Amino acid sequence: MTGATDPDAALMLRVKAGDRAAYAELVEKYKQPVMSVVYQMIRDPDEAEDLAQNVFYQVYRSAHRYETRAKFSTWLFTIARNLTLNEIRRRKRHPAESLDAAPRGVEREDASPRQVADAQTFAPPDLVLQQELQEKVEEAVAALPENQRTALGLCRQGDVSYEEISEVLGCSLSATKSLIHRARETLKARLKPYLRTGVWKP
Amino acid sequence: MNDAEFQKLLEISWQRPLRPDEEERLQTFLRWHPERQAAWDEEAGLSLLLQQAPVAPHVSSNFTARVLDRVEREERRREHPVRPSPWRWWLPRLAGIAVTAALVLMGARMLFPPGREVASDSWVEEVRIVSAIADIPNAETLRDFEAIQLLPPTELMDKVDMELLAALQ
Repeated sequence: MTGATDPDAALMLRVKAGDRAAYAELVEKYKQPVMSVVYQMIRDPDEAEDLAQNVFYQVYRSAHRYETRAKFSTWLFTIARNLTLNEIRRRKRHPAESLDAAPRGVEREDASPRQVADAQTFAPPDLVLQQELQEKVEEAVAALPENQRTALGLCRQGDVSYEEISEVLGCSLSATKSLIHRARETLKARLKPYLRTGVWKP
Repeated sequence: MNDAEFQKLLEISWQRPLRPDEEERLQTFLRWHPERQAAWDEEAGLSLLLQQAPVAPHVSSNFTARVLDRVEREERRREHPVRPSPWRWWLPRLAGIAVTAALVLMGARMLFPPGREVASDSWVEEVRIVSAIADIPNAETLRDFEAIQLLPPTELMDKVDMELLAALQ
């Protein structure tokens, strides 16, 4: 999809011309997909969200350089991935423990640390099992190598083609499919007890 | 359908559920290749698990507002850069003027050292001594005196010539 047929590219061209409403529309549409990309590499929800906001700020600052050579989402996800990789490298050079690292799984409304509800006390048993299953999946995905996690994360979004994924990752189409295949093979091995029905049976 | 097409259907299923026509092609293939059924079931099971688990936590409800706020702050900062207060502008300049004045005074002190006052004091004393000994000379002598004053200085001119005074009397 080129800029001529990509509606998001048209929005971004309006952003380039100073249209703030177009920018807000793009942020609203892609905030969760960008968060998904960032979260594959930085597995802390608060830090991932802060970085996701930085991605959109970078988009705003880079608007004057935007060109419709590639699909907008590809450009956006590439910025997200590169910004996150830069942040990871920066932390390796200047390691600092995050004092605000909070538990996962709860939507953030303000700057206060997230809190996790006591689902085991109040939720129905099926919901508890489902949440535990999701935690198992989350753990298994988190254990994958970063490039496999990112490739799989983009694939799971559903509307990102394999060609786009390969552009974001900067590798060939066959290498991209290979990454996803290996990620899935590892997950199948680790989650074998849960694969038949998608329900955890202790 | 061959293995390559089966692989292609597999890759489609990684991203989305199969459409009815794709599902029909798959079932036809599996009827001819039942040994591939277990592999397909495992893949389908994993896809179901991944579909049920969120890819990432949900962003906060004020995410967009916070991004827009940051952009607006940046634009305001660019349009109205913070000007330094008047004191911030004058203080370095006053300091520079003070330093320059101090250097000028130091230079003046070096060019005109305090010892010159002693010289003028001793000159007054010498005039007093001379006036005690000799009368005020006549006009012709004073004219010569001016000429003598314009002569280049010598060591002897710093001291009162008592012998000359005696000769003048």
